[in-house]
Amino acid sequence: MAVKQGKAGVCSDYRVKLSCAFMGLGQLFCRQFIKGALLMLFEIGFILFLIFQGVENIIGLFTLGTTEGVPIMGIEGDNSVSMLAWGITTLFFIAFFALAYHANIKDVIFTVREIQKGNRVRTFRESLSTLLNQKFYVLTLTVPLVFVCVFNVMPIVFTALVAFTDYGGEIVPPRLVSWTGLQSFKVIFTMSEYIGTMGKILAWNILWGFGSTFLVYFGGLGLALLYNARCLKWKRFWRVFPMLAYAIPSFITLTGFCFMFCDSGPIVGQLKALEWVGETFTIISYDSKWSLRLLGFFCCAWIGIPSVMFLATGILSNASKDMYEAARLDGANGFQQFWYLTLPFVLFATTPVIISTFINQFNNFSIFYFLRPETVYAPGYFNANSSDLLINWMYNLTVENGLYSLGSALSLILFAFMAVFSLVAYVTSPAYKKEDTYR
Amino acid sequence: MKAKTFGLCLMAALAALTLTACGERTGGGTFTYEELMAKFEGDIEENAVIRVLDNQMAVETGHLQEVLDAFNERYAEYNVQAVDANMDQYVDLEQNGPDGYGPDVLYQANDMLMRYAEGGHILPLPTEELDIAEIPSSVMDAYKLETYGLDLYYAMPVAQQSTVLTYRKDLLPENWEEEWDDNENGVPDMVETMNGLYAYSKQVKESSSGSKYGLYMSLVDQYFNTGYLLSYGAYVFGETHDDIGLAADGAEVGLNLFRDLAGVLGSTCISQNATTQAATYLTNSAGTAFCTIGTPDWLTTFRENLAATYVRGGMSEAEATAAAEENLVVVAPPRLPTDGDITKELTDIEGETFAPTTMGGVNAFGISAYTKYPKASLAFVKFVSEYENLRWRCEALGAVPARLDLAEELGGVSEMLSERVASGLVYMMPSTRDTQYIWDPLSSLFNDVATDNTTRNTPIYTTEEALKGALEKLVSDIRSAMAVGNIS
Repeated sequence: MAVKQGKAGVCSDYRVKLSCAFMGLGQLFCRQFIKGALLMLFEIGFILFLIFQGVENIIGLFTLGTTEGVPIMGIEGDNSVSMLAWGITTLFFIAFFALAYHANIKDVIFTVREIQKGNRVRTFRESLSTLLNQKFYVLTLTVPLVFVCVFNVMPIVFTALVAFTDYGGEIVPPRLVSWTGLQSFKVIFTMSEYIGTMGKILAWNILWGFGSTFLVYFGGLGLALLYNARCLKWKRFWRVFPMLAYAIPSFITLTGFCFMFCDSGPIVGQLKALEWVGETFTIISYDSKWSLRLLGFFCCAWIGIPSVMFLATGILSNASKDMYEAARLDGANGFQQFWYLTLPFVLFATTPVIISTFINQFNNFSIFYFLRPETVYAPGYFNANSSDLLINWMYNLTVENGLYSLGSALSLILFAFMAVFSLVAYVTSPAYKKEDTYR
Repeated sequence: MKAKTFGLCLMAALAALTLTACGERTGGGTFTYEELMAKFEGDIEENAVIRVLDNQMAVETGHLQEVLDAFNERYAEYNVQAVDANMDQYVDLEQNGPDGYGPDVLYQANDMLMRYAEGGHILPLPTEELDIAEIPSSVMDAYKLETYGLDLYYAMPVAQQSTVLTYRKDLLPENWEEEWDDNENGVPDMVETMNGLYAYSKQVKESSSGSKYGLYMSLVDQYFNTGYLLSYGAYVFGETHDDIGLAADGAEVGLNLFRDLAGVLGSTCISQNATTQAATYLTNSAGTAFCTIGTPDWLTTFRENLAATYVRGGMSEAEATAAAEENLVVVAPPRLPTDGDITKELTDIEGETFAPTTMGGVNAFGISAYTKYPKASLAFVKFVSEYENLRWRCEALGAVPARLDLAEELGGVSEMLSERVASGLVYMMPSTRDTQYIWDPLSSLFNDVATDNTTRNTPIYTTEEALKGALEKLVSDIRSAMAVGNIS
């Protein structure tokens, strides 16, 4: 209570009120002239930005333009997409300014408190020194934070906002884009073609996500255990092969698989020549569903298992040999040792890896993009094929057909699904619940 | 607390300011013909650098560079530099133009260029300054768009595209005149009628255990295969775009014909790659394929490939080139049976068959609305559409000219195709943005039906109703794509 009263007392000081009214004013009255002047310049700069550009940008964010361009007459008009981007950027500037304003008030409160305690006010040099020494983490984390905001958060916000516009199809600059609210989501959830396609693709995508993660994870773990086995000779020699599979760029591997398994490729040709399959046998064709999906699992295992294997090999090398020795003395067989010792140990260490593998596999664009190189849409699917994942469908909608707002709405749905899954999976995982078990 | 209140007040003030500032939207107004063409008046810009986008063949053969050099030489006094845009030939001006990228002058087909025209991305051209007297009005109309109440033309037609059949004379059976010329007109039946081609393809495939082909082409190519539907009564758009006629009565007959054809071509042709493969198969020393169906400009590539094959076989360059030219023959697409049954043997070719309708298009040079040098760009368009330069292009690239007088002078394929256009046997790709929505559903349809008669264990398109259903599904898919395109 005493602290609160003290804080209230500081806040009622005229210098704090001055800094609340204008950045740096309070600092000036605390005789921190350089800091105060810099903060005032910062606010003046921000106000000038708002006057000359910022307000216009914010208005543009709401209107998305009012004058349509006529390129054939050289009349530029408003570019809705740029206005959206600049509007978002300005909002970020405002948020950054608000944070700086908050820091300015905290700073003046600190200084006034120091004065009230009878301490000497810090000089500008001392303030800088404090920032470099005692608050170095703030300085070093701010730069990457700014980069994350510019290169990650802002594009994500931009993409998310596009979902609430009519951008795409016929509405591209110079035509003006409009805010359409939930129209894109309504299209996805009400147009029979979309909802049907989305249901089928989502079901397959979930199966693919879990199936491929299971395959890659346990395949990699199994291979690591195999290479770790005492009875295996020339371990280094055997480890070269998964390393090769891992080192070759995945799109080259996938292109190779596509050629090997296509109708005119050697595998199907040889199977037919040997008369092991009928003349109509095919793996990659227009209406291939499960044959192509299974091939996808195979390719995914080929590409993904080595990385998990290397990871598991490293983790297994840290496993306590005493535990296994004790288990052997207690009469545990090989499977029991794996089930009760190895698996919990590896699972604990790799839960975040499993989650990231699941997210990667769920959004694995390249597998079916390269295995089915041509754009063909299957019956019962809208702008998609039976082996397409949501990410492939999104690509078809946006890049192939220019339906940006729909693609964006779909990506928001996908993001929501992945965020919920990741959170639930992590919170319920041993890595989160039993954090101290292996420490 | 007060600081927070102050912050909230500031945010609220900003939000209120922005909301009150929302204004009415205004269009670009209206313009007269003179105003629209004003940018082309006067001398061409000095020191202009114009980026020219041409098709891949023009780039690969070096023809584009020769044209650029010739143009730069002619306009040397203005120091104009026309350069290869060095972009993908299907670059999307709609996406790149507003961002400041994209070419100044571009060569594309009418469906693409007119999509740009509808979006305001290419400039209407001053036709009074262009040499269009010898271009048929049906061809010019492919580039006509009503804008501000005026009929404006948005590109300069250069070449026509449609379907032709190319075959190798040396692969004809020795006794073709006795066995494969029923009507004794000196034209082999296998290149005259689809029934003959079907029978010959079947015979070649069976006798070679599947290692050779009569006809080899992509079964998923929408452009060429849509002709089978068009020949039996289908159309793309009627009076309005709500009227999609690809499932019109009779189209199912054409689709069944395509299905039969797919059965003899096989599953390896159910791929876009088959188009590339055809160029190899038709020109290799083994003679893997007897013929293919494509556009006339492919002939240049075929001739080069075949000449290279002959050179490898020991001929001199000159002999090989002459032999390749002599050996590769381009003819009109084969006649189709009236009842759509290509599996039967014809007894009266004239009476039982008809000349097919094929999909066609007009390739033209357009000028980007985002160009900084409209006068220099127009000068380039005028330059390439001059009679002599057009002839140069047609001879170098095997293109069929849009000009009637040049087509007549060149004869051969050019004349044949011009006659087909004049006879209404070439269905021009609709010059509208909505055309973009037909291609993917058409490709899926052809994939589906071709698969049905090749690799599908339980075929489903064995009845007229099933085929009709597939066409109705096609129309429904196109409608959905158009609806979504308009919503988005």
